[in-house]
Amino acid sequence: MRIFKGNVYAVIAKLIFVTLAESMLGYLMLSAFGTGDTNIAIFLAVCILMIAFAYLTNISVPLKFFAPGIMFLIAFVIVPMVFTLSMSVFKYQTGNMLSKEASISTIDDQGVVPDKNNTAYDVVIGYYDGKKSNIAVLGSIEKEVEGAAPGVTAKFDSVLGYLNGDKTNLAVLATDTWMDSQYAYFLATPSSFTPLTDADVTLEEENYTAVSTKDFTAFSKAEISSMLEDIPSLKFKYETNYFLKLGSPIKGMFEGSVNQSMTVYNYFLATKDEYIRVPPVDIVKDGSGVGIGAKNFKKFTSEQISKYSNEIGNVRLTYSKPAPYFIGIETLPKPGTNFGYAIVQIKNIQYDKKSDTFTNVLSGAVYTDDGKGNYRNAKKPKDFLEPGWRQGVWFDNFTSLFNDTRIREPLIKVFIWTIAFAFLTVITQFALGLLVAVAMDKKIRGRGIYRSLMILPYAMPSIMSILIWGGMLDDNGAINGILNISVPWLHDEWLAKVSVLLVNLWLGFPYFYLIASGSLQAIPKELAESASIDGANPRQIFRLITLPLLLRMLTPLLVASFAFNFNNFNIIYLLTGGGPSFEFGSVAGATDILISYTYKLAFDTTIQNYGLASAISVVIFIIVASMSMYGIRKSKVLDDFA
Amino acid sequence: MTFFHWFRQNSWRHIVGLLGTVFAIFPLYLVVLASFSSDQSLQSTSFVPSSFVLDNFTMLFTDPKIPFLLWMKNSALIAGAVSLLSVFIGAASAFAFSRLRFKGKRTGLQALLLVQMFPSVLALSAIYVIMERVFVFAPQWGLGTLGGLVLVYLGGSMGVNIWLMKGFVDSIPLELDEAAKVDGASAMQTYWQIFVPLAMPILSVVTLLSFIGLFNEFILARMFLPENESRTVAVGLQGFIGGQYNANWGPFAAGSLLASVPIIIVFMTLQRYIIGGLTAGSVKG
Repeated sequence: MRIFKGNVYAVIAKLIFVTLAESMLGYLMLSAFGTGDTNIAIFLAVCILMIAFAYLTNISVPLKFFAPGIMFLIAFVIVPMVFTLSMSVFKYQTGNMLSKEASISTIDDQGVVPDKNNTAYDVVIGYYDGKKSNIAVLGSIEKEVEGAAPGVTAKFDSVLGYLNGDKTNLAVLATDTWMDSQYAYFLATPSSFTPLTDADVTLEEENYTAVSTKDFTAFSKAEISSMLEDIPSLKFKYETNYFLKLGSPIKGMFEGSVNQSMTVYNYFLATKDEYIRVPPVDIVKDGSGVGIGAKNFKKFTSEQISKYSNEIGNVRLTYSKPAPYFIGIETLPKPGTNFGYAIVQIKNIQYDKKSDTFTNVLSGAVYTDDGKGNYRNAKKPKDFLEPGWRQGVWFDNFTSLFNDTRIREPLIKVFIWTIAFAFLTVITQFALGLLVAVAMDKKIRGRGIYRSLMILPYAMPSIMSILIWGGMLDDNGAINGILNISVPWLHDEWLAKVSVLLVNLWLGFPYFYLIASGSLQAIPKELAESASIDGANPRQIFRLITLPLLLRMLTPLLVASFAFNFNNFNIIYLLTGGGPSFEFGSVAGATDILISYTYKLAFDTTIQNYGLASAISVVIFIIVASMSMYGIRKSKVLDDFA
Repeated sequence: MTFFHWFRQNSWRHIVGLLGTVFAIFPLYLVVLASFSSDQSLQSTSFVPSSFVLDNFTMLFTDPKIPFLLWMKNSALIAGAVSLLSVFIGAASAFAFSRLRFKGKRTGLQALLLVQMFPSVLALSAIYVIMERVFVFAPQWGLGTLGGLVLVYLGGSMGVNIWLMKGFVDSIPLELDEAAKVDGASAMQTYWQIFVPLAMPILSVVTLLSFIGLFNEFILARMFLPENESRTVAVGLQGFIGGQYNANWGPFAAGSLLASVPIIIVFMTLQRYIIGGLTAGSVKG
């Protein structure tokens, strides 16, 4: 008789479920394809096929039970695990995080320096030819020019000499004849202008020309003839923007004439494609002559500047010298001002795809792939380009565990403490749990209350209790406060180790109490009774009968507990953070176990070393897996499978 | 009965019981004290409460920067969804491992065990990268969302739950399945109509253990949910005392108390079942 028949409702429910799941996965798959996450999309496609295969056909019955579990396990456990493990054969650390392609393009982008003179301009930022994408700058190059001052005809009879006996301290003593019989005198150096009166000067008898004054010595004729070549370029100060130049000497006297010095501007427009010198007539100038507008050039408004700021910051404009020189915009105009700041830069690091090398065009240095994840200067091994990339380095990370003393020494200490910590934790938890279990193994008064209170640490969320213990054991915490002592429970190497064990004992002894008291009840009472009849005292019964039996029953749990504590990340990380550090700045600390040390190596330091962390995690994996396999074999869990 | 004899018989048991009790409860006592104290530190110098104020509790419920209720809700939602779903999904696998005959069963079980041995803390960066990508095409399931964390937790809890439940399934007598088979039941029908009703109490306990375990999860939750409003209660409360110099033990203690009490009550009520689960090989974290 068939009692179980196909149920229509069950089939309909299944179909609805499968359709819903498939359409949701399908939607996600299409989105993943859309954003270019091909790997994820392919995974989702496989999931979709697997679900269809499992639930719409009858080919594999077990798959009906496994399909959802397998999907989650692969996506969030196996893939991350394989990724992490595979990183152990890569140089994968801060500075070597990218793929090689990304590294090349970053180096290429960053290989830019200012030109030798730090040439810089205040520029107006805008666009050329009416296209906003054609970013351009209008620059004004300041230039000093000099020449005869228009409208000034004054000429002075001048004597060239020097001051205070120092022949490099040039000066001119000049006489200004500005009305028939009125004379004025002044002394001019390249940087100063001093009017003099009749009383200050000694005059030449005939024509009232000053020939000497205090501190001033005239050059002799011989000296002047040796200086003739330099004299036309000498400038002496006159009024603001004006200066005095000397003509040819006549009988030791020069004719000084007033010249003018002024600032003029050359203008240029730089776009992405061309560098244009713009004649002044095509320029709209501000009061001082600086260009603020030009033909075909339109200034960006403040709103446009902030809208396009990204493009403006990255644009490379043509410079008068050909590439690798270019103009880059360094700072945008401040609100209310017109001028941004542009500097001339050189693309000094150039990539050559054919030879896979970078060349510094300024120094000529050549950087080649060093096989370890960086472009390195073969001539100067310490000179390499940042950033590097993830490079397969075979077993370098593993060998460095043994060969590099900076890694090996803390690792050995951490490893020893990991074993000691897990071992001592299991021993202390088991011992105290067993003691309590034996004590409570009789119906004494108040047993229920004792029991409820003693399993409280186990019932409380451990994350909270660890943090609370951390606060209590702190230098200013409750333990020191109540006992009125100041003991650095968490900051001394050995005390910190003791504290960690103590807190873990608190967390774990109720577990072993519960387990042990259950097991004690499972031991037949007849054994103890017959031993007692044979004359054994209670201690002997415990030592020779109860304990061996208990140990035999609980060995798998003790091994499991050892394996769990071997990787007990939370207690270490939340209680001491692995500290105190072995020495200032070292990653590893006195209470670090392998997993917390590895976590810190990978995530908590400034130089994160995923490659090394992965290598250590492979070692942890092998240790824990072999321990657990041993434990499982012992407890014969796997034996009853066909 | 001499006193010595009585002492040998019973009082040492009381001494052990008393000392064990004091050791077990004094940190908890201090938490209660701190939560009702006006002092912001765990530096109480006596066991006697010096003040009794509710400031710390009112702060948790009124301070807009401390969305304690949201944190609790997030934790309950995440742990609840994951424990229910993972038992729902895992039970089927456990059943298959226990009852069905198929090629590669032993290998599968060993592989599952092996995968569980991998220190998952170290796979964080890989999970981060994956979920960062997921966020790009499915913003409701990616990094920083409760949904995304649920997915990641689901994957992580699969291994341990399958193992745990397989132990239970093994203990259910085979005769029932065989009878069902004789009566023409398919594997699916046996699962839904025979196994699931029988295993319901056990499945509930595994759900509960799983819930407590997830409630305790810290590292992944901290990395995954950086927004204040989306934090879990463990991460949120840790924020009070995370900084070196601004340890706010008062609100932390009050929050821990509120978050722990429901769990403690459930644990105490169901301890008989939970202890059954413990001996099957689970170690609570």
